Amino acid sequence: MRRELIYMDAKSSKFWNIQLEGSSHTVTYGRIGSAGQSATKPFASEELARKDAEKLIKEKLGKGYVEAGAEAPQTGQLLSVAFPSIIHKDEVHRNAGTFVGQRVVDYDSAKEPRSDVAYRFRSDYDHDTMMEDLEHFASSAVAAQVTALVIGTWQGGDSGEDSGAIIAALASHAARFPRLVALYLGDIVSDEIEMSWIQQVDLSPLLEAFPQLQLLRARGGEGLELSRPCHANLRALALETGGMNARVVNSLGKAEFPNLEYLELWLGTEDYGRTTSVEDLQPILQGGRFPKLKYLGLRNCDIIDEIAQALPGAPLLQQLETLDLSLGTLGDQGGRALLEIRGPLKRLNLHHNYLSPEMVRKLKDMPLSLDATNPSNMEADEEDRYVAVGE
Amino acid sequence: MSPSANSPLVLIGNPENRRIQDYLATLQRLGQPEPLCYAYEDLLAHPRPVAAGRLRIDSPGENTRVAQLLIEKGGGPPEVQLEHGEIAYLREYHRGYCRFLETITASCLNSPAEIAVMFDKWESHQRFQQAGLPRPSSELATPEVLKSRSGRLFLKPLHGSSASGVCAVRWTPARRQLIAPLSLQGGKLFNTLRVRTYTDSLDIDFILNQLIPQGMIAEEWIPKLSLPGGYSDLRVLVVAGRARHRVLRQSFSPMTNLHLGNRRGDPDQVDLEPALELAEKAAACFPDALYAGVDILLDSRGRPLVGEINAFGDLLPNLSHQGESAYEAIIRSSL
Repeated sequence: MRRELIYMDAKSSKFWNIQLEGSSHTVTYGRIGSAGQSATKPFASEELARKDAEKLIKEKLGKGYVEAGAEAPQTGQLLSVAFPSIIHKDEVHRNAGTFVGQRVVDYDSAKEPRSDVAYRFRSDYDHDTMMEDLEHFASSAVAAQVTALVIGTWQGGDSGEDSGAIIAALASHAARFPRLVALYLGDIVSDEIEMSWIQQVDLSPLLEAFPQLQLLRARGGEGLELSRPCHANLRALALETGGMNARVVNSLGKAEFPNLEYLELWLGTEDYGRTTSVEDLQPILQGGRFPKLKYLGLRNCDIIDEIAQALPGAPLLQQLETLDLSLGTLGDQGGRALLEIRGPLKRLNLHHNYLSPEMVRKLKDMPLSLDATNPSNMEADEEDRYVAVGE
Repeated sequence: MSPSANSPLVLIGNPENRRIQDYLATLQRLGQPEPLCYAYEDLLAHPRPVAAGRLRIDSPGENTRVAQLLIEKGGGPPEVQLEHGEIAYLREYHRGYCRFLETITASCLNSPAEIAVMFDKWESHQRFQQAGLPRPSSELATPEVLKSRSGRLFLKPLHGSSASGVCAVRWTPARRQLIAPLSLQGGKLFNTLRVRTYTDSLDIDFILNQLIPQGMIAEEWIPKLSLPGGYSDLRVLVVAGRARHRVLRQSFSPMTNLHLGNRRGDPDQVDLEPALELAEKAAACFPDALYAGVDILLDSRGRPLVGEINAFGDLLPNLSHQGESAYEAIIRSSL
């Protein structure tokens, strides 16, 4: 027996393989791209070795590992395990260490570019060379090989500039990046710019410039638009905001994303620009809009209790495998509604919540994998509830 | 000025403070004779020359009566009644302290003149700049400091200690934000242990109107290195020219000071060598100081910059380097 598991988040991309041979098993693990290290463990019998292997596999699956074999990448196809980025609250404060399984490296025009990393382009306080760097990289031979790009802060020491110029630059170089399938626009942490201050613009030109794109992750809700939400190949869309404008969600309600498997929306709070309401989400929740959708994230949201009421009866729930309501202010009112969910749902992410221990116990009885953890530094206060990323 | 090995050890400090108590305990543990101790309160109320010897001048902080006496000595009102944590009379306090330092003629581990400069951020920054050391650009803050269209700055009291009165400010035409360990009560400004975010323009104006006249520098706010435990910088204790004890200070707010509930991370997560080298160069800008706590900032790519230098930056309990506590290292170097 052999099982191959992988794990990816914003910090790491790891593999874990186990090979069962007679009365021993060999575990090999490490960073994806490395050879890793192996350990063989002997047992008194085949039965014991098999049982131990099964126990280890179960533990790994519980920690978020997924089967690598089940979705071995065909040429150019992103693994869906690479779609999520930030899982837990503390990761919000870190610049991406990995992106879609590749190590993120700040581009340095003085060095020979490589094709096995995801380069990050950002404007530094001391020299704002992001545009020149991007130009430099686009004219290198490696550009044709690159599958993932990360754009960090484009505002240098200032806080007023929007993403229009960098989007235009990316779009104008699109032909140089024929294999680009994953783009992160806004790997920006709060010490650089608060999420609700990041100035975005209409992302449609990016979708149009990169028809082969599979994953688009963008951070920042100010000015964010999706005026022409059409894309034949997009499989994952993540929009992280401190406050989601209803216009964006309304656009998504009319979107043509026939291949979308993953939709992650950080709705935020009214104080920081959220105008999205439960009603605005209805066209999405009605189902049919995204026939392949398996993951829905409604995260960092201060009306998540209210939204939860609409979920059990939503037709979309009959196709989802993962529902992610994490980083918000979910309390028992929302928890109670979630208990009514029936259907194929396999995973429920409620990390960073205000649920009572009794409610967590009830939710744990549901036949699915539940993350109801809280960050260690969370201020547990029934009266004042905060989303993970406010100010 | 260099202390001679045979002269007796003399301390000036606030005797009730753990700094003095820990230092005395360390001397005893190392088999050193008990030093002569002067209390700031006593010396300020009854000015007189201190006995000759190797003098260690410790912090005058955390003592209300000493603060009163220093403020008065610096030209402020006598017996000023400050509430706990209230931020006021920073200039007078500093002037009073400098006047006190000027009266000291004994040979010292850290000379009074160097301590006075370390207590003036502007003068300290000039020294770093003249030595060609990388650090964020800074200037004296005026009431017009936020007049540009948008920006981000640290505003720091010229003569404050630790994070007291330090504000991280960001603004655009649409909004403003001030993050600081400050609270506002009854028209007064208080130092707190909780970092708060102010977004109301009235609050922000009030804070700046209170602080800027007391003397502030406006400093470029460079995004810090983000690591698993938070945004990170280093406190490095330099003793006798060598970078010794080091702490990685981690916070999810722009203030990494450890007394604000932030955590000590593992310094080996960062590229230490250039940071330690820079800390030694920063301390070398103060040749008449045996030791100093140097804050080394790390930008988002991990490159080191000099932050501040702290005359009393040696309070690093439960931290050892090569088997020595910070006080042990200082005492052994001063023998």
